[in-house]
Amino acid sequence: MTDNSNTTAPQPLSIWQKLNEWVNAVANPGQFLKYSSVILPWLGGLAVLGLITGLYWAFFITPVEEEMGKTVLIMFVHVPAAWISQMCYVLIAASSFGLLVWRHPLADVSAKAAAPIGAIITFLCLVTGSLWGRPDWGTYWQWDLRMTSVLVLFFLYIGLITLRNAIDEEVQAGKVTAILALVGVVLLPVIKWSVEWQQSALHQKAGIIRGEVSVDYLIPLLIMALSYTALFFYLHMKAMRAEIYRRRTVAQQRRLAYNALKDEQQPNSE
Amino acid sequence: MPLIIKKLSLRRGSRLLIKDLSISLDKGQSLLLTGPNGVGKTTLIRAIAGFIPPHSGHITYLSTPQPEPDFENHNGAPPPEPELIHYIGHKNGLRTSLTVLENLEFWQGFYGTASSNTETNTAETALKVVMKTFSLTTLMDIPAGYLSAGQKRRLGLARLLLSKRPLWLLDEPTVSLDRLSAELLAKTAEEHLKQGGILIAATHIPLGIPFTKEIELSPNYEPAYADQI
Amino acid sequence: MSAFYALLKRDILLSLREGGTIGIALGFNLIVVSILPLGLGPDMNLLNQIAPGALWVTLLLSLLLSLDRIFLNDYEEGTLELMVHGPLPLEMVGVAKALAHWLTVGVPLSLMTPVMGLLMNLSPEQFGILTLAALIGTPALSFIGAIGAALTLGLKRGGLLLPLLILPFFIPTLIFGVSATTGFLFASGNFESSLALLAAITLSAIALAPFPIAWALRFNLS
Repeated sequence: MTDNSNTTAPQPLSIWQKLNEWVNAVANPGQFLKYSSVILPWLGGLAVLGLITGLYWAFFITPVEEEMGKTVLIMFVHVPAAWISQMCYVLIAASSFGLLVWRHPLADVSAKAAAPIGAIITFLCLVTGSLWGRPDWGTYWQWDLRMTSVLVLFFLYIGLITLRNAIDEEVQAGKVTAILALVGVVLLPVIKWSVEWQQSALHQKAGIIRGEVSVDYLIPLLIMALSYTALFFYLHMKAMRAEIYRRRTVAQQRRLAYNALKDEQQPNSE
Repeated sequence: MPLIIKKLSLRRGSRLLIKDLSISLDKGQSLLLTGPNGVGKTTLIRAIAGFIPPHSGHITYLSTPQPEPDFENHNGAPPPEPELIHYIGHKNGLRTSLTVLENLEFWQGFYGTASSNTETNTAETALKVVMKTFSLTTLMDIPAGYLSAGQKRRLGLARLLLSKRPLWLLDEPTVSLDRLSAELLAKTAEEHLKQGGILIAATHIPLGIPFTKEIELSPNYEPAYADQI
Repeated sequence: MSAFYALLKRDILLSLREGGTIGIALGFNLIVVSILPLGLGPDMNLLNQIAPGALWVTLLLSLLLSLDRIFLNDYEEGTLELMVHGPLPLEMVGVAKALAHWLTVGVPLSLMTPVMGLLMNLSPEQFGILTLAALIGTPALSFIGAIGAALTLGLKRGGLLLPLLILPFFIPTLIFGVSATTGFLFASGNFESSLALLAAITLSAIALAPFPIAWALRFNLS
């Protein structure tokens, strides 16, 4: 910047340039550490408060369902987990795209931090879904559309984590895993659609969209969904911060080793 | 200057092997890289060959004479086109179950250039000339797996003549070559330079040609990260 | 185009000469299909019922075994990195090698399906359609599998990792392949649409897979 900048009118930025600037501003690690430290306590508080409220509401305020009885309560744990498991994969895919296009290390940190959280939530979704289905189906597992898609999603998470662990060089691991995540995001709908095509659904159709769930359930369910989202982002931010600090520590340690080496190579440096 | 290397830094793992290297080579010029093992000779050659992206700085090849490119803004500073490069690495790139002739035929077909020499016009005679130059004619029907290390190296080097390319990057080309074959290589390299080619070689053993320039690399243990955060 | 042809010709020649890959794939397929009835008991009706699904699953697994070979030998010999300096874009190198894999593994496996059908008491009317569906469906497996082969290139346990990464992506081909094979017998009307969808998945895989293949190769060669 020279001092004649106030005399020349600033060039209007193209949308792409604006997007780039925005990405660079948001994705700056230092900035991220700053704003995440402000947001984190709020997110954590919201998650805890929401989970308590939602569960209390579900257990004590909502009337007991005639047909399904108490098992319907599993819904409040299961359905939000199903939502988050998919949202998390979309987040990984978006981060992977960001890494491959903008080559931004923070995008890699985001993808790396999200994968284990996504895998655990997807596993939670599978377990609760199986428990919920038991009285209904008479078995713990049914190859219905939604359970099968969640299972495939779980495999994808496991694939992402295993592939990243198998590659020693961190930068290369990030890039290669990003390709797998993007291939997965293209093929996941195709897999889901092909399973749907194969079978007539035995499970309940996605209820919220069709408005079948009564208001009694809807409010606590939405509270639970919101708290799950808050909890997810809380964990994700925490994991990202841990990963950033880990990488900085590794860099610092290498720097120290190098400085020590330099001192050794200069005799009588004292 | 067709080949310009400007303030090039290269990273391998989390080590900055090459730091702020600048050099340029004109047509017919050659560069010798020396230094102890693990100093970054291979990394530098692989970076010029386009396998390793620079940590910072530029590698540019200008096919036509033109003013100095604007490196700051990446204007007119294209990296070398893959099709201008002959790269001879540590591995020879041979399939052991194919015969010498089949290996060469494949590379000839893959590179898509039938003649290496202006006087020959058919693919077949071009192959014959190449095999004769590197004294592979008697071996032509033998699977590459049965060759000695020196013979394999010769076969790998024979690719240099299968298609005409201005930029030769040779990483330890004389490894396991006997004295006679090394002389053959030196003659081939001199011919290449005479025709206006550029040659960059990393070698411990003298190649037997006078190099225009030489860089002695020294070890650098400075840490560097691509994922600096 | 001559470079593409030269590469394809070489890969097919090598596969025929070295022979290991296709031999293992066919042998594995045969042994798994023979072991299934031993595990399930020789109930011919049961075998007939599960034959289309079982044959498709064994086809998938047999093909999976050979996937890591697509790039591995060339990578280890240093040939793959020399191909970067050829006139062929890396995407097309991927296409040539995946196509060669299909021609040397996918096609023989597909043509073997009637023999496997005999062992599983598949209805004779279904032999032809199973082979046809396998021929239409297996290119998708080679191309999607090549993505996995490129991703796991140079990893110590790449061959073990590959099935974990790639098998979920084979599900659509499996579903439509089985559906075409069974649909034909019951004339349920699913038959034509299954074949069409199988072809659609194969064509999309051929069109899209070369890009991730080339990315992964570039990252793994650096």
